[in-house]
Parts: sequence; structure tokens; C-alpha cells
Amino acid sequence: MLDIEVHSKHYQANPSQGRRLVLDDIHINLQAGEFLAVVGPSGCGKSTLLHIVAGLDKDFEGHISWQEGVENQPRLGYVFQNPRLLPWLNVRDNIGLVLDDPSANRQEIDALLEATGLMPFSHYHPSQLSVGMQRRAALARAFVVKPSLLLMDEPFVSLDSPSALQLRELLLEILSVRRTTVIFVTHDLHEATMLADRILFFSTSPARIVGESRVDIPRHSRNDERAIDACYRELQQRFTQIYQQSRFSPSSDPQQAD
Amino acid sequence: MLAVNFRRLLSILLLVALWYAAALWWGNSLLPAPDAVVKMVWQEALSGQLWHHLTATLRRVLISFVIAMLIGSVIGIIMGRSRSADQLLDPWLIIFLNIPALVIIILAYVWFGLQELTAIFAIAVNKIPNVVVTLREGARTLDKGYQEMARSFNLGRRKTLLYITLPQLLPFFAVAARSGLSLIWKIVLVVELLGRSDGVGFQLHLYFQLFDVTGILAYSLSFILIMLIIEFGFLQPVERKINRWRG
Repeated sequence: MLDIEVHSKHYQANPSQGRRLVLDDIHINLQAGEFLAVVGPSGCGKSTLLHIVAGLDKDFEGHISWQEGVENQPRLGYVFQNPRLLPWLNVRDNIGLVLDDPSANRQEIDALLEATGLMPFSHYHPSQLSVGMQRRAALARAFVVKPSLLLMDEPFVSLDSPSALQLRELLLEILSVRRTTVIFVTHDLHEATMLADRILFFSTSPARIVGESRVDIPRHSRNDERAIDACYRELQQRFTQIYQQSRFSPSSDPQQAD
Repeated sequence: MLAVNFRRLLSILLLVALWYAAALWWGNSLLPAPDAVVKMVWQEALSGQLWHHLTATLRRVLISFVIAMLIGSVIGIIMGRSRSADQLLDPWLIIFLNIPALVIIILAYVWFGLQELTAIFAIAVNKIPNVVVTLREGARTLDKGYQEMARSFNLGRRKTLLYITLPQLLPFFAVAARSGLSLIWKIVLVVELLGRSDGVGFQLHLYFQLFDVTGILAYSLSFILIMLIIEFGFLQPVERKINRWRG
């Protein structure tokens, strides 16, 4: 459905410094409905890749091509590391803001408020909500546009692990109803194992793809901790080697997800 | 809240009492007692003079305020967003910030004649640099994250302006408006004194030539009262309203 081909992406902090290579020959082919996780160390350029895919950053060598079956202007949903809700709008208006005609889509907004458990708080301003609830609102906002592609940039980072787990389960639940193509960036292999159909491993900067693996757990048994853990151990073993070669190991302990 | 208001009232009453005592002690017409000033205000109000001059001044304040806010905001936001515009205009800004108000007023009258438009222009030019500085600061601190959110969700120009950019700039508009109004009403009197035939500044000039301190105090106190009403009755409630979401 989507072909991402980034030959190279350079970054220049200021004119006096040289250009630093951030992404090196990244080629990703995304199938419709696929959940792709990109795992790599913090600061390796994963977020830059999402920026490029979203069209926020056009200064790179390569191209992003949408294949047939996708309208000219693909709708994007984006869940950022920080929820980035507007503090001057309440939850409902924050979600409605990204729609062209919020009043016509009232039912859809209601359904997502219901699904994320935010219905009783729809008139609260973000500052009155807990961090976990703010992230749920950001999820609802991303899904309300019925995205052809959902980009998620470490959306559950800096949450305590029960809340993070709850949010992952919520994401799976929403996805089971609204099948969506997702690129999910994280440094947490366990999280990637629980959510993704396919995992790409990025090296330290400049980021290259150093490994790829499928997660063959059916979507409906993703809340089976034992199956996830078994798969996670297998993946971890297989890729510890790769990261040792590049002298790096991503945070492998889900409890330590910062 | 009640105690605070009570203390404020007490402080004002104390000031009036001191004034009264000083006037009695000196016993000179150059320092009239409060009741003489109030009587004068009342007489001028009855004759229609007070209203005539107050509205003339107030009209100039409001028109030049709106003009200065509009032009100053546009320039300030452009300078805050574009580095090259900032570098180009910054020296001008510093010069205009440092020209004494009186110089601008005199030059404006000399070059453009003693007319209403010149007066309003001179007041606005005095205020514009302050608005520019404040709004430039606001535009510089615009959150990049919100901008990215707007772009990735394809919000478009209108929504981005209305829901993302302007709400972030509102506190800066409020600061510029409040400091602006107090600056403008001080300048407007000088403008009127130098080249208008109505307004509070003109009246002050007249009573100054007659050495009539009662008249000077009557007009300045009436005008201060109007500005206080605008501040507490309009500006502060509006500011509270737009800041409601900061809870």
C-alpha cells in the first residue's frame, strides 16, 4: 500500500556544523492493514522517519509513494510522544478539531469517547486529566479521522507500566474494530512484540535496518501474556546478537521503559 | 476578597483625607480641597463641557489603540516568525522605541499639519513599537509541536490560525493591550495640548494658562476615572475569560 524509500536523510543543527547522516538507505514496504513496529535506540532517527512519512520533513533523498487504492491525499492519524492536545479546547473539541465537519461526525466522536472511556470527561480541559487520559484522548483524535495510515511515535512512553499496558490493550481493542495500517515507533521490544505483525530493527545513528521479524501471534490472542512472553524471549535472543554487533542493546526490559 | 476590597477602599479614603488636610493647612487656591474639585466636575458635567472633551479624548484613545494593535501585531508576528524580517526591522524598532513621544508628535504636526488624522497617527506611532516587541516575543514562543500536529492532521490555514496560533498569542495581545492603553492615554493628552482644540489635553492647557488648578484636577481625575472603569470593567474581565482554561 505504501512504499517508503529513504536513500539518505541528513541533519544539520546549524550552518557552522557539518551535515550528519541520520537515515541510511531505509526501504519499507507496508501492506494495507499491517501493524509495523520500528524498534531502535532512542535518538536513532525513528521519529525523523515518521516526520518524513507524514510529509512534515521534505528535505531528504528518496520518495514516499502511495500505491493504488489510496486516495490522492491519504488521511493521516498521528499520535505523538506528548499528547499535544490543545489546552484551550476541551476533550470533545480537541477530537472534533481534526475533522472537517465535527457536527456531522458526532456519532463517531461519541463512539471513540466511549471506547476510550472518556465520555464522562468530554467537557474537561486536558490540564484537568491524568497523563494516561490525555494519551487516550490523543488516540481517539488519531482514530476519528479514519486514517489510511496511523503514525505512532512512542505514544505510551513515560507512563507507569500498568497504565501503559492498559493503553496497549485499548489500542488493540480499537484496532480490532477499526483495522488500520500502523507504523509504531518504540524502543521497547516487549511493547513491539505485543502489538506488531512485523518488527523492523534500526541500528544506532545513522539508522539502518539491521533486522526484521514477523510476530505470528493472531490479533485476538494478543492479550495472552504467556504467548507474548515466549515470543518476546525468542525475538530478544535472536536480536541481541545483531545489537551486540553494532554494540548496542535497546531497552529489553519492559519494566524499564522510561 | 472582601477584606482586600475593604483595604483598597481604605487606602483611597486615606489619600483623599490627606489631600483634604493639606488643602486646609495650606489654604491656597493653588491646592483646592476635594469638594471644590468635585463641585467643578459636577458643573462641567451639567454644562456638557466635560462630556464633550472626555469623548473627544476617548475617541482618539480608542481609534489609535485599535490601529496600533493591528499594525503592531502584524509586524510583531512577522518579525517573530521570520528571522530575516527580524534582522531587517530590528534596528528600526530600536530607533522607534527610543524616539521621545514628544519628538514624534511635533514632527507629525509639522509635516502633516494640525489635524485630527495627524493626532491619531502620532499616538499610534508612539505605541506600535511596544506592541511589536510583545507580539514578536509571543510569535517566537509558538509551540512547534502544535504546528506539527496541525500539519499532519491537515488542519488548513484557517483552523490553524483560529485554534492553534491565535490562542497561543492571546496572552501577549492582552499584555500589549493593557500596557498600551495606559501609554496611549498619557500621550493623547500631549497631542491634544500641542495641536487640538478639544479633548482633556486641550482643557488642561487652557486651565494651566489660567493657573486654575481646580479645573486641571477636575479634568484629569474624571479622565483617570474613565480609564479605571475601562480597566476593571472591561479589560480585566475579558482577560479572565480568555484565561479560563488555565485551571
